Amino acid sequence: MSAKLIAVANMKGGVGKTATVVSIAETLAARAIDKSSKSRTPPKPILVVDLDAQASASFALAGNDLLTALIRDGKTVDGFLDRYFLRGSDQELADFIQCQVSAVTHGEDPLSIDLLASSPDLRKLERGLIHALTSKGFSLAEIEDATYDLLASRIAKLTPSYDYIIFDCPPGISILTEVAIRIADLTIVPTIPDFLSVLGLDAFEQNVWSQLATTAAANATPLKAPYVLVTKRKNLKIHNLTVAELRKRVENGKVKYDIFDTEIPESQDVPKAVELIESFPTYSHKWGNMRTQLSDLAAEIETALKRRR
Amino acid sequence: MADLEAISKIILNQLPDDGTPVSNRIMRILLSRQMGKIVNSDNYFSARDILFDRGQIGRQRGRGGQIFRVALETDRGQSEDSSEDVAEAALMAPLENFLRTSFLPNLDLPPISASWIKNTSQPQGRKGIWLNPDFVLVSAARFRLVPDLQLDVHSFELKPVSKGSLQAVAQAVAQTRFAHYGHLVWHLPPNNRFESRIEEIESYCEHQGIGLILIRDPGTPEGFEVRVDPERKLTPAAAIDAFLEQRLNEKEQQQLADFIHGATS
Repeated sequence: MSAKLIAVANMKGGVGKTATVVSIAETLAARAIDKSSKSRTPPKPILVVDLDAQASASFALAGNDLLTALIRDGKTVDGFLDRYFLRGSDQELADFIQCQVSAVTHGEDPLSIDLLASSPDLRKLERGLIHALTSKGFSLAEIEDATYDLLASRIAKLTPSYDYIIFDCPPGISILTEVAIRIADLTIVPTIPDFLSVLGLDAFEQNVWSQLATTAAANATPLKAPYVLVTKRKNLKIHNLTVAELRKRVENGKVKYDIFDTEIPESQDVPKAVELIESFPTYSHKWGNMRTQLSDLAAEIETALKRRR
Repeated sequence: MADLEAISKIILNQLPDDGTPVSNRIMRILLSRQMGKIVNSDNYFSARDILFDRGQIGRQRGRGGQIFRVALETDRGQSEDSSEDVAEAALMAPLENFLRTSFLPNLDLPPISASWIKNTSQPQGRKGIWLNPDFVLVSAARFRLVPDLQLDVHSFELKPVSKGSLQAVAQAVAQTRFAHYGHLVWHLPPNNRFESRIEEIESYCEHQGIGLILIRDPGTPEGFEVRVDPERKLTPAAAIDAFLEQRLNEKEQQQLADFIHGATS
């Protein structure tokens, strides 16, 4: 079976995108271990593709030493794009993936997670790419299409090896975010249920989603409605009202997105968990009280993806 | 078929040189990250056992089992000129005498106590050099007011002069899988050329919480020098119980059971 592609994106920063990527990847990997112990077949790995120049997901999964080595060796998504577009190399994306990076175990087994890391050079590379290709006469739309064609075809080659490929998209609008959303089977939009974050959600819906949907429809590959994931939820009046409003909008069909039943509560455990790398934690130790929500979320993701087959 | 030799090589390379133990769980993470793929538990433990059987690593309890590197130089003990060695067999009786007349009294057991010293050098059921201490000392004590019972099992690994090595310390560590205290007893006559190893071995004993007793002169209990006191290990009761059941004869087992259950004092 071919991998399911999940993009985690929001125009607004600070809504918990990286924590969502890391926690989903680790939860799906832990569930794969549980399933494989019953079926006695080794689990397929999860691939995390970090498209954010902040490289937070890369750091959270690989740790400082390994990430430093990957950046040094150019084994990153910007390394791949740089060699393809600017140096004429035709290497496979697989050559840039670091296999088995997780320092977390479930049962006695390490979580099976591979990583296509990012680096701070990605931002520079994206600008350099636009500059270099526009000076050769390419339009921005052509650059976007070329990037989409490249990544979509290279990712397609990887799908037989994975159960899930998860993209951590940078905040704001970028070529790479748009590519990830266009190829994803499921887009998750983490959203804090407060005024500013809902504005960010509205902006995402109007600016990114509508435009991409138009392009996708023109290419006969219609986009699948994104799912909002309520994050950093507190028992505050504003949060309660906002969540109720979001759910009502979905129920009434007034918006282009769906919403997960599972909500991720505000907890000090989440940022601590994301930073737990060098201590080789177990999955249970790392995610502690969050495990129930994460398990529910993983089940909802699996159901949502099955519906889209 | 997995290349167990390749896996065992990586395990050895990942282990700290100073003998710091690493849990099996963490070693599997390091190994999998290094190899870029999951090494399943069967292959991991098979590769680990290759190293253990070769004496290149030691094993100890705690945190799901731990392994530690035995320094490569320790192999020199095997090939070293052993012409100066007094045979281990000839040192057994002096060691037993020392344990009875000096070591045991120095434990300062309370008045209500019992003890057994047992030559366990002959393998019984358990295979391999690592699991057969030369002597064990079992002490059980009760107290006047406090209802607790204190049971301690000491293991003693005896080595002739040329066999004093870090690997011998690792053997003593391995024996704490079924004893509370592990001791290395090394015959090292004064001014012997192997004296140069003492600093390294003493430091490794301290690092691993293993006792070190030097036999300077086997002819007299005063010729035994306790250089390092061991640390008490949190060895599970079930492991101690299984070991004693195997190594004490029926009469000794009955004596111990009677003491524990208060039939004698």
